[in-house]
Amino acid sequence: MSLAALGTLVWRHPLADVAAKAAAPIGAAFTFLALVTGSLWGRPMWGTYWEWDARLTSVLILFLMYLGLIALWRAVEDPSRAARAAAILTLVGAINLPIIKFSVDWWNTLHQPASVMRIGGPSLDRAFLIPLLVMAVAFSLLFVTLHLAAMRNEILRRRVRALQLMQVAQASRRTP
Amino acid sequence: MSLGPYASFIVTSYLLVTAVVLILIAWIAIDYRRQKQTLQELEAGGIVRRSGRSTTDMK
Repeated sequence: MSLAALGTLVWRHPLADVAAKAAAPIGAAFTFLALVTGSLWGRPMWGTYWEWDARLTSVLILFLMYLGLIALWRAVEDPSRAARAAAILTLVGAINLPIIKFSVDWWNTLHQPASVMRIGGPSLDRAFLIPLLVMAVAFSLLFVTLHLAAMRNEILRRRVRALQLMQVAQASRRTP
Repeated sequence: MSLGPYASFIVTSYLLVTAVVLILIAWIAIDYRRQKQTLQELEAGGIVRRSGRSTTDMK
């Protein structure tokens, strides 16, 4: 989404804001799943469903930013104005990504420190690491598939809007 | 197969993920049908794109 935001603001690529708008609900759904399944696992591991520690809070902020982007797209009627505003919000929100990644190193949290992407290699046992990587690839491919389908819907939605505007223009020309 | 002491976590998580993924797929499929139908209705009413291409150009 950050690349798409750059595509909207810098290169003004016509598909950039389509890609960004289509990605937001899918990203929100995936982040929601990460939050809720993590919370369910937190109960047996930490003795609590939720703790306001750095990792959990920063992922919750990511989820809220996705919702904010979806709301922004819906609030602004003109797609090009909405795209610019959403692109700025996306780039501001991207600051949260390194915070999420390094939160477990920078702050003392309940969450375990980095165990996959770390200097010295993964500390996870292969019995856990391999299924984790397989599912990471599977969910990445699922995201790409859903994103492409959602982008196609968004292009169709813009065609509908263009035709509806033409319909209104034609009707107003006919009326004296 | 016994899922051990974490069975409730595993089952709940799988059910939740399945539900959310199915909702996403259904939402995208329904949205696609809705947009195509609206486009076809507009074209049937004589509103066509400047290029003259129809909605069937994009499946």
